[in-house]
Amino acid sequence: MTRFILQRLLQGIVVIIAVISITFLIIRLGPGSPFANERDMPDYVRENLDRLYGLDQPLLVQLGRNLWSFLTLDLPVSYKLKGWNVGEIIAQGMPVSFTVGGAAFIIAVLVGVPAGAIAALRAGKFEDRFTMATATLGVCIPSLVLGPLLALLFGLYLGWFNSAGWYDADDWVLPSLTLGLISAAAVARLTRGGLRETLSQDYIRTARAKGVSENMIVMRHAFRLACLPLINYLGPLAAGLLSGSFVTETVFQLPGLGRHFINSALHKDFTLAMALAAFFAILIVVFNLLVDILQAWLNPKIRLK
Amino acid sequence: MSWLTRLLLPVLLFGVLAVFHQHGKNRVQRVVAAGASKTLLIGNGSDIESLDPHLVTGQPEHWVITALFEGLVAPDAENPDLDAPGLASAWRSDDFQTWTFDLRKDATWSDGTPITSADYLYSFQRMLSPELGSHYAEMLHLMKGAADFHSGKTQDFSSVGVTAPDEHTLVITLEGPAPYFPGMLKHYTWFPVPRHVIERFGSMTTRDTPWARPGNIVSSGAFILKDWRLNHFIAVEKNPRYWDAATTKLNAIHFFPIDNPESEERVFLDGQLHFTSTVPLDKIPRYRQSKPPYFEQSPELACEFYRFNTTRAPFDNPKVRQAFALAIDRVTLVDQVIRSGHLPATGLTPPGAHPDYHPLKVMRFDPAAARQRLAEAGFPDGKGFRKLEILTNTSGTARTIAEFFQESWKKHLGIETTILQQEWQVYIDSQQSLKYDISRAGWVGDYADPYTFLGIWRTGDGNNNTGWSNPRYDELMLTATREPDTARRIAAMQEAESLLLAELPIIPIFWRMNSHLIRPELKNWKHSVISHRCYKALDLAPFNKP
Repeated sequence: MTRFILQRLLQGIVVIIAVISITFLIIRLGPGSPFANERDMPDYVRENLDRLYGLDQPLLVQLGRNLWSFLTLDLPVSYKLKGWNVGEIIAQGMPVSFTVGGAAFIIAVLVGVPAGAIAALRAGKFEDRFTMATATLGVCIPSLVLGPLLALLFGLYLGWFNSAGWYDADDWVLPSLTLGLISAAAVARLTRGGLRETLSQDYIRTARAKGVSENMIVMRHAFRLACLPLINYLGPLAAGLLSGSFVTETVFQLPGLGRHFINSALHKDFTLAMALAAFFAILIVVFNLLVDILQAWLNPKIRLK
Repeated sequence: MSWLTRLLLPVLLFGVLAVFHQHGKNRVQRVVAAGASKTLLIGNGSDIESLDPHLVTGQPEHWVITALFEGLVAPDAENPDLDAPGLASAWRSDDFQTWTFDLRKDATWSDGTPITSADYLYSFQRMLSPELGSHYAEMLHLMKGAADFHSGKTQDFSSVGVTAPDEHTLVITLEGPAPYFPGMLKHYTWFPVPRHVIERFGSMTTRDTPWARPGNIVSSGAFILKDWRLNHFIAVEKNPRYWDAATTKLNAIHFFPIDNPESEERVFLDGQLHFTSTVPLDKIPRYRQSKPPYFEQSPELACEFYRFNTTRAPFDNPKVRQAFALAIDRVTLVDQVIRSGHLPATGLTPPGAHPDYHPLKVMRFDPAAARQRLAEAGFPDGKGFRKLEILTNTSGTARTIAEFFQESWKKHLGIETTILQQEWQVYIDSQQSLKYDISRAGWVGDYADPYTFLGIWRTGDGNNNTGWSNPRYDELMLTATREPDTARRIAAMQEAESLLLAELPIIPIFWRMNSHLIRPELKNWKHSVISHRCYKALDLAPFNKP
């Protein structure tokens, strides 16, 4: 087990370095410069800036320098947000993204799992059709549509919450609902699928034949195994939700990480883009590891080596 | 479930919802609480890049920096486009070339350190140092010798036309007479910055230091920085040490970077803002029709135009450019397609740039003449014309306008075009490296003088980006920077603009209007064509339920 975790962590470091390098290369090889501005600057100023930031060096030297600063945790400054270290920028946005994303994750699980379970247990009946129709709708509605709808209904029309902004203690509710409900739809579909499949297995039939109560069958025997595909999905979902969403943050004006993700790429602010990509990669590595451990615990057939 | 539970559950649920609804409905709007504490809540567009006046170029930065810092000259309270005394109590010049400023003896930085003439010398030198790499240093180039120092031709700052005969006098010598110079000093590029703070974090030209962050920054204006959270808000508070603090009416201003106009409008209607930086473009026509009292429009000193790449055939031929320009029906575009109240441009320089400068009436829609010019250029009915690409960015109405142009050129000239949309940084790069045929562009005036629009078309100017060059035009521009007589200077600029509009390296499209939503409690708000604001004059009346 310990060996497995160490192995995966080492792999994770390689993945993170690869992610940082690829992010750097994609942005640097693309057209545009972090210093490009509608107001042009004289060539001698541009040359000065390039020299100052080492952008006149060969690409591999630049990459090496940047990797080194990340590896030694001597984080570089952002090109766009002058005077801000990329670590500080992430530290400012992280609590917001974690709050909203964490709540969205809980909503997704709390809504999605029971809905999927009900659908699976009442397969073919009204409950099933209704839940799955709603879930399909949920999968199809983008947050760009659901977000403003929730903001208009509960913000402007009913006045229950601020329609946008990050000031009051309950400002996480609408954005988390937006993200959570959309993810809940996928969670519900996965839960239904997993549970339906497990319930048709031989060992469930055996349990039924032995007279085990239906509650016991579902909760004790079926659910454990039915969760496996769901858990596989929940790992990356958690990483995605916690790292912020550009659309939801723009709609609800949240000072989270999602907007930095997009803006850093648009502005060719490659140090910030690299830091955010690394941050996202770390989340993915960690959550995938958690998923593996959780699956081994739930399914004795899986052994971690 | 017993029948009792089945009955009670919905009742209970409904009851909870009703209580929640009552509670939620009676929430105190943010503007009410803010009004009581005299805190102005203001939408500020996209997030700011920095509060170092020497390292920024954008309008959102301009709006925050002018609350924190002041220059020699300040915007007038009644008409922010006029000049009022700022950190200089008076100024004079006999020839519009050598200007003497009397600095206030009572002016201090917000930490109590006096502001002296040495601060200006330091700031101008910092701004012009090539090592700092300021984007906007060219604003200072009309100072004598500034361009040479900025380009590194000389390292001797004493060769630049600024001296400090004593602690409270500053003398600035320009390359030529510029009657509009005091107005220019309201721009943040000319503001003094605090040497004693900057050098606590690095040398004069170190970029990327945290000197302009909360807790470090000291400033010279009516407000001081209290807090700054990225993508969230910038809070400034009244500066008790400001020389005119008695005039400042607000206790604080909170700037909110809201780059999505739909969100900004929703937040305003939700009572969270007193003032929005803009209005969603697709909503402007409806607001213009229903005319709610909180909707306001005012002209901006800005022109939307298209650039031609004159280094590429067929746009190296002026007749082709004229044909393209004549085939555009600006009135239809502005009134029926964009419907945002912009003014169809008849020239480049918008109205309001100078009291004596009358906008030219040259640009017109004449499809017959357009076809004739095209035929004269050797492409009758567009025959033999290669396929062209229209370059635009991705924001706002850029695509709509490009499509209108595409349709116009196809219909009136028989020329096929495709539209290429590029992300901002890439689009900028394509324009500056002349990798385009025709490109969408805009220009916002830095100061109230036609030169801010005309100067950029000189040969080799960094913002020309068309490859166009004309010796007579350059000569006239030189006159505009050297001629002391206003009438002759204006005449030179009018001639230059006529020349520009005859050769047409660009097609002016419309002069922009600013749109805002403004709460009735905000008092003393005055429009300005160059977005100047006199923050100290602003006030908030007690909240009135509309």
